[in-house]
Amino acid sequence: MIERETIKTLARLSRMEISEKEVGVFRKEIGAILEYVSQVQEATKTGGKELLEKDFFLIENVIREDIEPHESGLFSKEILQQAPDREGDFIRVPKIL
Amino acid sequence: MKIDLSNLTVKKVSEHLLKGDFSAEELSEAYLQNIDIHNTEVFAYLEVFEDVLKQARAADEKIRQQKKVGHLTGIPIALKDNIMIKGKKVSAGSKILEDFVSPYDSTLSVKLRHQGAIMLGRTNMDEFAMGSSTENSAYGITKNPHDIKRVPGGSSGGSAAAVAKNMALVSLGSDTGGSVRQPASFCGVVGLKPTYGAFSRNGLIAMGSSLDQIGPIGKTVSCTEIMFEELQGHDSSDSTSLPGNFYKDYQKNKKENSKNLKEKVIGIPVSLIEREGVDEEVLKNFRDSLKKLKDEGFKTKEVDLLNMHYALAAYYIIMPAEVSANLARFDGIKYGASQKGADLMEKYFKTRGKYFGKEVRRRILIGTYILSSGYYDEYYSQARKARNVIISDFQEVFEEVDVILSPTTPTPAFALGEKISDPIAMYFSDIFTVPANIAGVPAISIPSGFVENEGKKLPLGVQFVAPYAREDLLFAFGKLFLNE
Repeated sequence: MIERETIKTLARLSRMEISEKEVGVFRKEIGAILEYVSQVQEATKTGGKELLEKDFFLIENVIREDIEPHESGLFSKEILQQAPDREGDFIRVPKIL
Repeated sequence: MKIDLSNLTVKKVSEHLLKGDFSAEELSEAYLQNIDIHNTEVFAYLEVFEDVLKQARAADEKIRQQKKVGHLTGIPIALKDNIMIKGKKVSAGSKILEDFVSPYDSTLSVKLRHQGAIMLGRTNMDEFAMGSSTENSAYGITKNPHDIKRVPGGSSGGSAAAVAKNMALVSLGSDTGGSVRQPASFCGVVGLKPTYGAFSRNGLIAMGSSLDQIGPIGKTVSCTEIMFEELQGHDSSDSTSLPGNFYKDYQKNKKENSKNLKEKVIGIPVSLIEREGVDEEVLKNFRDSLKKLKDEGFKTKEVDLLNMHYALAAYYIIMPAEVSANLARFDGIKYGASQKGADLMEKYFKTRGKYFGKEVRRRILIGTYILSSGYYDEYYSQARKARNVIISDFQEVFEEVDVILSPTTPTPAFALGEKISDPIAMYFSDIFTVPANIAGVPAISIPSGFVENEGKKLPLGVQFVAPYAREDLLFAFGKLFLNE
């Protein structure tokens, strides 16, 4: 079973505030889900090393030459409009250091 | 001519529009009126766009001038609230994007606009597509049009309910673990999840990037077939988009299907279907469906998809891992809702804590756990390997059979509130749909009849699964099954 402190650590790592009450609910639910999903370890017993490590999706980086940029500022207005807090063409953030 | 919305298909609408039986504007007005009557109760739409009639008049002008008229010209379509249209709100069913306006177009909305399709509005969904009932929307619950005390399925519940209640001719949803097929089945309509990478996801708000795929919903198989053919295609703005030649044999395959479909073999994963948790009524309906296909002359074969039992477990590791990464971008700084904080860290905590719903936060926490250094090997690495085993099982089975048939869901639509407090019971409703996302293969849900429950007729569906790029087989089998 997963500890209350673990839930709090996960919330901290994922930058989310959760209430004390929710820590208890999440602890119970996440514990049950982790128990359920751990059966996945059974599936890998049937496959050989070659199969288990094969790259079916042929994952590769899709890159292009850094040329032909779109017209400068084409999307700036729309994107800046979505910022919750701004000053002119700058996005304002709270003090970091 | 009087427009009977319940009897229309994409093909019929195109013919009527070209013949001038009615205009796209008249048709759109009929849909808007129907939305007015039913949306308060069903709540399929979060927003109906104010420019519907303007779009319709543009489509009529296209038709009048006979200029660039395509199969989707004048077709009224609803879009799930996670597909971006420039200048329109898009919220992914979440409070964190409540007032967010798309700064650019998704590739699919460009394609739709280019053809002169009429985008009616954005449909309700589980927050960030996380759920199987549309009860996780931050904006309200969508009801099943067949019984408003029941869920429409999810996460694309609004898109399925809109089509079922004639509030749109067709719609788009997104399917990460069954989110197009399961609601299509619950609402008695057709839902397709194309091959992973067939539809561009540029401008789709991401959930689980190795699983997500946009798919069409319609009342007939032909409606989804036309949508598929018009909307699939390589897109350089989506790095997971399939190469342009991926469907090079598609037309040839279609021609062959029209000649020799009866020689194809249907695989039945019996041990996956006949198991605990699958309703007796669903099994009976499935056996009847199978008999219908056998009577048509099809050969069936029992197949072993031994590791399919593990697909759901693998899914509930891979998906939350990808969720936790994808949703890290919502920080209250760049866009979306925002809470004040004494410093940057507090701003993150307050914003994400307040505006993400419970299901979303739970999945982020699980994803964070699974990807943490101490547990990565135990969960994520194992799930990646299990995924390979499942793909390999599919490949072996598709050497023996042409398609795989199963029920779409283990139960008919369940009651509102029935599973909302039991995540694992909710997850189980995707038991038959998740494997296709894990492997990336295409699958379609086809209505297969009804089951009577407390005086209401609840729809059921069967699912055909095909090898990569073989949507042609899904359409051929689906049309035959529905006598289209």
